[in-house]
Amino acid sequence: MTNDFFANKVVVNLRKRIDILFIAFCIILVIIYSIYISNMQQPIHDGAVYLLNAKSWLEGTKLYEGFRPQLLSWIISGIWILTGENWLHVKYIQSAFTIASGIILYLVIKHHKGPEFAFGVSGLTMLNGTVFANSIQILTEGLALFFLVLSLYSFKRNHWFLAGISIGLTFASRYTIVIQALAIFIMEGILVRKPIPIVKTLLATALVMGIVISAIYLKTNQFQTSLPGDSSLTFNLSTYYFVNSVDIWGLAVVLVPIALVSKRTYSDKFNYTFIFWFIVAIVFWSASPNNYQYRFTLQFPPAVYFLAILGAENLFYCLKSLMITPKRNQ
Amino acid sequence: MWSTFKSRILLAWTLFAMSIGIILFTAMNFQMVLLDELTNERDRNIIPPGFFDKTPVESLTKASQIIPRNETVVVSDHGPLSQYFLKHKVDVPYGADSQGSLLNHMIRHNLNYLLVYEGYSAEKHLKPLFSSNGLKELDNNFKEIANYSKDYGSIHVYKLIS
Repeated sequence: MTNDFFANKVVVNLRKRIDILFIAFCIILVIIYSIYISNMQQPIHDGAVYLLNAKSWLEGTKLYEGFRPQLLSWIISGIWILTGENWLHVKYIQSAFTIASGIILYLVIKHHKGPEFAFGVSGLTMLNGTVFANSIQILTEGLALFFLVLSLYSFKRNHWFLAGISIGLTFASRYTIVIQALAIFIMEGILVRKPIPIVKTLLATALVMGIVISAIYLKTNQFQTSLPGDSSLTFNLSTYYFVNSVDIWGLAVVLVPIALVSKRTYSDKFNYTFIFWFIVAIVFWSASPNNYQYRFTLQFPPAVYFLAILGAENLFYCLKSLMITPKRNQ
Repeated sequence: MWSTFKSRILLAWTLFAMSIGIILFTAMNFQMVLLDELTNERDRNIIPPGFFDKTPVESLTKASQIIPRNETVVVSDHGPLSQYFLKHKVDVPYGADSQGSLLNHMIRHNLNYLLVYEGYSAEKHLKPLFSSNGLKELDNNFKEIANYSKDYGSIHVYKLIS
């Protein structure tokens, strides 16, 4: 009994310290981001497009590329109204959203799974090389990740109207990522089984998407979400993301199948959303006939690493049950 | 039976320890993956050559001052980057496959200025023309009015000889 009491005390103290460790982790991450972004001397191709679109919104001229999602350009325009046009002022936008998404992810998972689990998922997501390399650019991936995670947080905390707004803003930040947001909505809707929250989310989503589409249509007389070559899907799923899974997500991805085949995974309904999110995301991107890039996976590392940590947790509980069994036999 | 039980516990411990090791390795591998991401070989679509090179933006800013304000500039590559920092409208000569067709395109659309990123061409057929050796051929029809060196190749600004 003394040993159990001591072990429990250690665990309780450790859990209090994990919040402090996570804050320290975020501060270190901010410093690392700052070092890389401050050395960035030119925006990449897409980044320059978002800057040009922002300038077009400010000056009332034609958009450089109207099929691009406009939320980032709107944010840039908003900043430039206050600071004057200077691309250096907006270099850090994406990293801020990415780090914020890590914090929200930690909060939403900690509430149900505990701080160690949450730190694992959030830490691995933030330390994913593709997430980092894209978040130091003037791109929309980090923005979409933020609103996607915010929608997850809103659902788990029963803020269904806010969740709808987050889904709409996910759409505005990166059109295709709305598929993942809708997958989260569908699963949460099935779990809640109440019409009023579902209707609240639908109304909020429709409102935000309506505003976004109207604004772009009024400016360009059309609404296009992608180039013609990127708008088709195929049932002949590519194995690209499976073949490159270790390269994209690291060795931790090998733990995902352990989570998916464990009975324990399906005993907790909290896990269902992450499972469905992962499956929908990977099937969707694999259904592209010809365009495969690591950065398309940037919005679902939280689901991947959640399942990876869950796989490790399942192994721990398997071990625990094995060690308890001989005591019972005594 | 006890030894079977002990071996099952040992196996479970091993698997669990490996899973923790895998997770820690994935986290600690971050810096190596990041360095890999920031090299050209890993993902050409994300990190451009010269990501940390400040001379392209400086060069484009200087070039914008020598090109008349109302002129549209033909650029060999990096259309959005060029348009943003040159502060001129730009035109990338897609469809041109030789110096002759490039010239025709420029004359037809009354375009008098050409900016070349040495060694880079968005139109693949013009890549030999915009290479280090190919640029000499431009001297027949263009006058070089500026040349900016950078870590990853030079930027040349030409005016069409009328």
